[in-house]
Amino acid sequence: MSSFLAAHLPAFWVVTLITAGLNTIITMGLYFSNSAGALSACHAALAGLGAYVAAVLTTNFDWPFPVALLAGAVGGFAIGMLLALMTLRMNELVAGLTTLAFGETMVIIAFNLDYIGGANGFIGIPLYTSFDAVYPLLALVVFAAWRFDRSRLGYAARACRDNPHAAAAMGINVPWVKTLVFALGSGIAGLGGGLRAHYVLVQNPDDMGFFFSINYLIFWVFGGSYTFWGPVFGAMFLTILPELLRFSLYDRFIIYGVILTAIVIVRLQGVITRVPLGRRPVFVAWLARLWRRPVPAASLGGSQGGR
Amino acid sequence: MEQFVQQLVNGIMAGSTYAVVALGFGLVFSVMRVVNLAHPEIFMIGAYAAFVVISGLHVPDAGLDVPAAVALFLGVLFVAMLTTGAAGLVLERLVIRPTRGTYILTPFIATAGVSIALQNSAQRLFGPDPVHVPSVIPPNTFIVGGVRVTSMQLVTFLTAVAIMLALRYYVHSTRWGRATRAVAEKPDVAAACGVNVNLVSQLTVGIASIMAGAAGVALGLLYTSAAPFMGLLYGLKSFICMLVAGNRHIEAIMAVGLLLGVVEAMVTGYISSNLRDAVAFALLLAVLFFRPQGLFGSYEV
Amino acid sequence: MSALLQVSGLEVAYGPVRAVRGVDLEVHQGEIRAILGANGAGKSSIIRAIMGLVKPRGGTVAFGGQALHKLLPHKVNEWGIAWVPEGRQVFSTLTVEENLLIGAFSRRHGQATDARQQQVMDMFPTLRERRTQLAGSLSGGEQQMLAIGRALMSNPRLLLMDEPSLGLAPKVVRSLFDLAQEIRARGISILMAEQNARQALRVADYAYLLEVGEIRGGGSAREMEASETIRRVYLGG
Repeated sequence: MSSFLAAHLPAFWVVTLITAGLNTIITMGLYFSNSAGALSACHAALAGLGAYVAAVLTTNFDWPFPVALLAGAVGGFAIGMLLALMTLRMNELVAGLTTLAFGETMVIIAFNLDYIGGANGFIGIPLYTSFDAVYPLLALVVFAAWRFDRSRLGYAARACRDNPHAAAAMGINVPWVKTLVFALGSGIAGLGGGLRAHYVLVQNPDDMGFFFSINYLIFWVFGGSYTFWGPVFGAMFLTILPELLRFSLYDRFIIYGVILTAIVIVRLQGVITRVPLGRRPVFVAWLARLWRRPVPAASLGGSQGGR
Repeated sequence: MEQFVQQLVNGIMAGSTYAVVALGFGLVFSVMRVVNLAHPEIFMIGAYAAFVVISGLHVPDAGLDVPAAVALFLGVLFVAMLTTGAAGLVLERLVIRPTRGTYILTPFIATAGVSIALQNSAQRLFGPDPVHVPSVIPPNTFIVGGVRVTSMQLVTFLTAVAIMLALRYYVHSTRWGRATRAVAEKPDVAAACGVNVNLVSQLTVGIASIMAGAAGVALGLLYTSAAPFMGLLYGLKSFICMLVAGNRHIEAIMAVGLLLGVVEAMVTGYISSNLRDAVAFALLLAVLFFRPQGLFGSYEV
Repeated sequence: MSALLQVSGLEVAYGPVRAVRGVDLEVHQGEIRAILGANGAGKSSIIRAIMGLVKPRGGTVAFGGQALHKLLPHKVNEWGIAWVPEGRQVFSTLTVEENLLIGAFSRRHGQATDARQQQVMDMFPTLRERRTQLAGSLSGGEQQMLAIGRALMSNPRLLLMDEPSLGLAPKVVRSLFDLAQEIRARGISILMAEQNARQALRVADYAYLLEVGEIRGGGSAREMEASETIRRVYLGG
């Protein structure tokens, strides 16, 4: 497949597609992590952790690529589990802010660890990632998300997100569910990070920072956070869009920042509806409304919440 | 012993600016339940405002006598606070007011967008490298009881203290300060008592921004530089101060800011300067693990 | 004589849930009117809509001829309506005195406010005793007094009371309703939402019956007390 694409598409587009695919994998991790109501503001750091682990294993120890990737995912899983356990007792917002601080701590630790390159980053990573590696894995992750949505764990997670007390009253082990899905999401992030490291060939502590974590959060929220297609659309769209806006570096981000703020104010205010399972995702309903096609009331979700 | 006191003093000096920025965060959060991610960038605007004014006036580096220096400092402070105050009011009207009260992430992301735009605008306008801010205060060093304090440190500290006292007075002893406390606790009831909540919202963000601007000037002069991303690390630490202190009492945030400064100074002096930045996060994790609502309690979110 | 407060066709909805459906009611100068109904009937929603805390989906609210339904709560307060919320809702981090001062926020501070404060503290001597205490440290009954005192500080013509008896001991409830009569005697009208029909009918001039968002009946307090349905359902026979 890779050679087919390389032959028919300009290199620029191949790069963009692969980058979009990588971002989507990592954002899918966020979908899992946040499905039980948590807010992971350190997702990039978890991806970076997986990246460092996988990169060190292939570069310094000559481990096979798939095994190294798996190790990276396991690393992400483990740290994600630790973080989830730490924030169990906190209220939503404070927990989210703690993940933020946790992520920044990881950045600082990476800065100070000379073994993985310190401030200069870890270099010399072999180029193992290609289109053929990314998209099948992405398909696998999306498939997993689809199965997750329909599984008992998925229902339990959504119950915890919507009403933890009611969920507990129904016999769901809320702490366990929250921890598990958060760890799963972090593992997927680690996987994505490892893939990314073997494409970009350098892994910097900066890449783990809040700025990138916010990016993933934006992909997740923008596309519609209550269905797994949301992160897919969000990551793809928002990765490809800046590539189409290719003027000066600073202007591009100024526009990005303004667009982001504007969209959030105009669209997300009060429009984050709960989409019942199986209905069309929010953004599709929104598009349909734009085209004035009648949208069945059910697919706009249930109550908009109390006063 | 001497070194201990020296580090203590250094720490208090540094901590006072953490406290001022953290107060701005805490004020907006406790009154409006909004995390204003653009707050550190407003701090950055303050520093750049100082840069623009001072370079614009072509002031030679530390070439002024004391009265002129103080006058210039106050003038720069005034201009910067005006600028950041205005920026804050615009931010409140355009970004915060439409998004507050809804889902918690919304103002968070909206202000994140603003912060990205501001950081890159600064890069565009002033370049990605730090710019040199000429030092206005003559660089004298005072030695009191074996402890060295530079004049700039002193000025920074005094400015911070003045701001904190002013804020405390405002919150506890004025009509609008009282209204602000009422809105922080129960906005609906406050509104029904005749308090214009929108106005309080504007006032709060305005005050927080003015404070951030002043801190930006102080820090810009202290380190004689301003950079597009200077808000990031500083903002994060101040943010952590707010989390650790809880948002119930502003005195708590002041105390934690000073505490952070002191602990950082101790770690730098006795252990290693590399770990300085990690202190804040370690403190956060330690405190929140045992007391999730912060050291001194929070309002319900 | 036209009514002081006139509510017509009020519709309040939260998303797809219609809490108040086409409600008409009025309060005349110097009256106490009660809205009776079970939990969840929509009584609080009516009160909140009048106060401007929730935007009605339809209908109008007029006060002394002035249309209120588009105004923000602080403006409604300026026009002369004050709110005693459900569950007291005093500002627990403010002192008793500060709570009272906030109540007068819409009026310029000065001699009038000071005089008002003295009047309120004359009415509630306990509040004068506890002037500098934090409101959060008061008992339930004392907090209710504070909430009412706070509302009176803005010199209102109409007092909205939302479930004033909720969570209070029976002896306190009795004196609370006696207090309502005292307030009426001073020329302030009251509209109260109450579950405790017995006490409400004792002091009210007129009462409405609210069920699932709709007014199902209304009449003078005597008429309501005499009605069979009311006796059975709300007064326990």
